Amino acid sequence: MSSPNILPSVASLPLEGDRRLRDILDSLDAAVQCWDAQGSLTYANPASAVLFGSTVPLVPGLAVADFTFDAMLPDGRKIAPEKLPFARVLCERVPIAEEILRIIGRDGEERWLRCSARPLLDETSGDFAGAVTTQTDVSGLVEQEQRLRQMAHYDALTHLPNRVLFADRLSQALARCQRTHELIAVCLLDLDGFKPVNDRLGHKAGDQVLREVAQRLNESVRGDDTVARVGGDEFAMVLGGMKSLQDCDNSLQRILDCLARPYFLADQIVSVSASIGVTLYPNDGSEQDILLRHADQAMYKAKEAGKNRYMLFDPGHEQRVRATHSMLSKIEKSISANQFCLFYQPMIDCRRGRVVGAEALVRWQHPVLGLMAPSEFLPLIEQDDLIVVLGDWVLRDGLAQAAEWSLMGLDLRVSVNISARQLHRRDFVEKLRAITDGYPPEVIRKIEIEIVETAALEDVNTVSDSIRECRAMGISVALDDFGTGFSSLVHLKRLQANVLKIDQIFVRGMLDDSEDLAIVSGVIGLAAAFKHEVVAEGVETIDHILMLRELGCDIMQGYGFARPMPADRIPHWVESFRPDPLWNIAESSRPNRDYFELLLAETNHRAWLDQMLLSSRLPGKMADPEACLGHEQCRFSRWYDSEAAMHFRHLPCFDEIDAVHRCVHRKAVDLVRAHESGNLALVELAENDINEASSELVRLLRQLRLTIAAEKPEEAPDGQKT
Amino acid sequence: MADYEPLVWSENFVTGVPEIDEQHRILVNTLNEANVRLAENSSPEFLEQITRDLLSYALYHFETEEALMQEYAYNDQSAEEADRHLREHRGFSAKVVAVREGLKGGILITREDLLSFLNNWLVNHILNTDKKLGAFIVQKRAGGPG
Ligand SMILES: [Fe+2]
Repeated sequence: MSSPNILPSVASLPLEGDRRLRDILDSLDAAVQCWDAQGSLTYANPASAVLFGSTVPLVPGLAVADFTFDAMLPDGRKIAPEKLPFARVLCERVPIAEEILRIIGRDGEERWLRCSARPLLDETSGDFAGAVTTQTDVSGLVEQEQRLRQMAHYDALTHLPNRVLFADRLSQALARCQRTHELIAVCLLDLDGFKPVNDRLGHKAGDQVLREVAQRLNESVRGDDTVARVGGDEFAMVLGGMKSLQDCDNSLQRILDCLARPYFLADQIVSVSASIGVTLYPNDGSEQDILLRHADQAMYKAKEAGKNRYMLFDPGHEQRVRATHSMLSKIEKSISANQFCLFYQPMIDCRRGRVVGAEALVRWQHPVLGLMAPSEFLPLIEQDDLIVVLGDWVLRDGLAQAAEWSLMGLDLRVSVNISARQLHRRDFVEKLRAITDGYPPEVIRKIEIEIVETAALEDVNTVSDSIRECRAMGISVALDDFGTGFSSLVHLKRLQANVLKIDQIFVRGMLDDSEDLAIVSGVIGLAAAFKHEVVAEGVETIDHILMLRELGCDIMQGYGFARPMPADRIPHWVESFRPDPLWNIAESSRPNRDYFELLLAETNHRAWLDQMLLSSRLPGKMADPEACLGHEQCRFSRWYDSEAAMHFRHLPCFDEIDAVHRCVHRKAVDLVRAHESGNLALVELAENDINEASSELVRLLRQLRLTIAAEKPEEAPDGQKT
Repeated sequence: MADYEPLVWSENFVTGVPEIDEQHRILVNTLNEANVRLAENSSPEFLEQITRDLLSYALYHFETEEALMQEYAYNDQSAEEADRHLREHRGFSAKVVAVREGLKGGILITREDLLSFLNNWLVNHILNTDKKLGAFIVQKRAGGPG
């Protein structure tokens, strides 16, 4: 503060009234000014000069309008000159109490002032006679208050926000996220290896490390993010502006790397690292304090997992685990409460026209949700021992059913599904013997075990031992869902199964997808090579049946024959079962075979087209252009020109088929040229063209097929059988 | 579909039945979690796990809702709505099962398809179907037991 000995012009400012009053005012620490009714300065005490002397010369007669300086409200907003207390009291003529102002002098010195002002009235007339204005310098008080506030919101050591301010910033960030749809990472960070530094090198060194950590954290986050110190060596962060988990990964990894670099203290190099727990809002849509708790849990996981890493909290995990447990115990109770039952789906030998067996499919009669298919509840238990408990039950019930049918004179194989997990059990064979104990061998021989999820087989030796035992007991063993998974071939060789079941997904797709067809025919070929029986699942239409027969598979099941049904309906179904004569048209003589020939022609064409389209997408020369291009060499053409096709010549669309087929081949030539040119747009265009022409060809072939079927109504394949 | 648009829980989803709302929150979390994690990993194994989690939790949740329907005789009140509700639940399970069947045969559902199905189903079902049930239960509860 400048010294009070410069008191410019004070003596020349006469104050009306007595000398003693003036002495008193002159001696005050507070600044006092008097103004006349016109707003001219009449008196300013020496303290006024201390406050304003460097800004405005306090000369008598100074107009209040000229008594201006830079002033601000505590929140930083500027005050216009006419809003200063001096101007307002003279203009509005009302008292002004205790306004806090911040003024900046010409010298740049900043002062906080508490200002008051009162109007003066003439003693006799009562008229407005001017005003007295006073100011007290409260800079010391304000600064102290700011320090206190800083202490309430900031950490003294690192100057980072503390827990209180962090909570505030977090809630702002969460509110912002509602609008911006960004991801917010709420992180808690705990230093690894900090305590030894403190213990070994002392608090000073420890504090230095903490300050350095704070600085590095601040430098590795964006300006909008918040880093706070929330405990001894614990920090919290709110990181925003992220669009993906990848962004979050990058930020956190950067922070970890940065903190793990060595710390150079005065005479020491120390190293610490950090464990960070993270939860992502809004994925984790919890309340704010729960978010922090989740970050904390994840942080402990990061510590447990070996430190110097971060862990992401999985918000639904806990509840999902609880839900799963609840479902598991419910399923367990349901097994003992007999809420499971077996439905049976017949298996048909289409060559011989007989029902050869039935696959037992478990259903859960859920008290609330009703009858549930295994695909809905098995995923819940297939990784739990409960699948074994259920498997045992299925075996027992299936065996009892086989015995019952056998007594009735029904010669049916009963196929039951057994999980890989169950086969892995050392006591599997022992249990199987216990279950079959007391049944005559001819009933036991009715049982077939279908091994599901063969891909999950790990200990192939144990399993193949078990299978051998089964086979010795006369129990047939099938590999279910064959074709899915990766290791089926290995299993085929090592496991001594005697039946392969083709997964329904390939059977359903084989008429439209040449890859599926390749898999189906591959599995059938493998079965033949290994002398295994082969069964196709998911057979729905006569076309499926004809194609499977042609490929060499006779035994089938699927909606095309029957849906799974309760056991007590099987005897009647078997009794009323009649083989469809159409099943054998592939073998029969013309004209019945025509229908099948057309189906085959269509499938061949589709396989050729798939091949074309596949190679048009690969770099290099298109595969086997001769075969792709030549209309005459194409398999379809050979069929078209063959004697077989002679039977269709009389039909109206036959010539059209030839024209469309030639068109497809011209489009194929275009496609090959486009491919050679390397112009992707042209390739795409040509692909569209060939697809269009090809659809037309398929449409015509189907039309022809329908025409043939209509010619012999009594044998017409309607495609769908119930 | 945008690159990332999490489903933000809002008051709009609240049915007024605490046990249902809590489970819906978890379903929303599970969906968002799938969204974030699928962006970096869409292997068949991971899809298998996600769909299993979904199936499992959905079943648990449907059981809760359908038990409440029985408890408060929703079917007596509005048979058509109750029937539609059950069909929507079954439809969800059927779709997830179909996705899993596809996975087995090597057909991987894309992240976009899976997420848009989940997102649409969840939002539609909660806003249109569950809220009706919620209002019914809230009213029943306010009017005493049964
Ligand atoms: Fe629902």
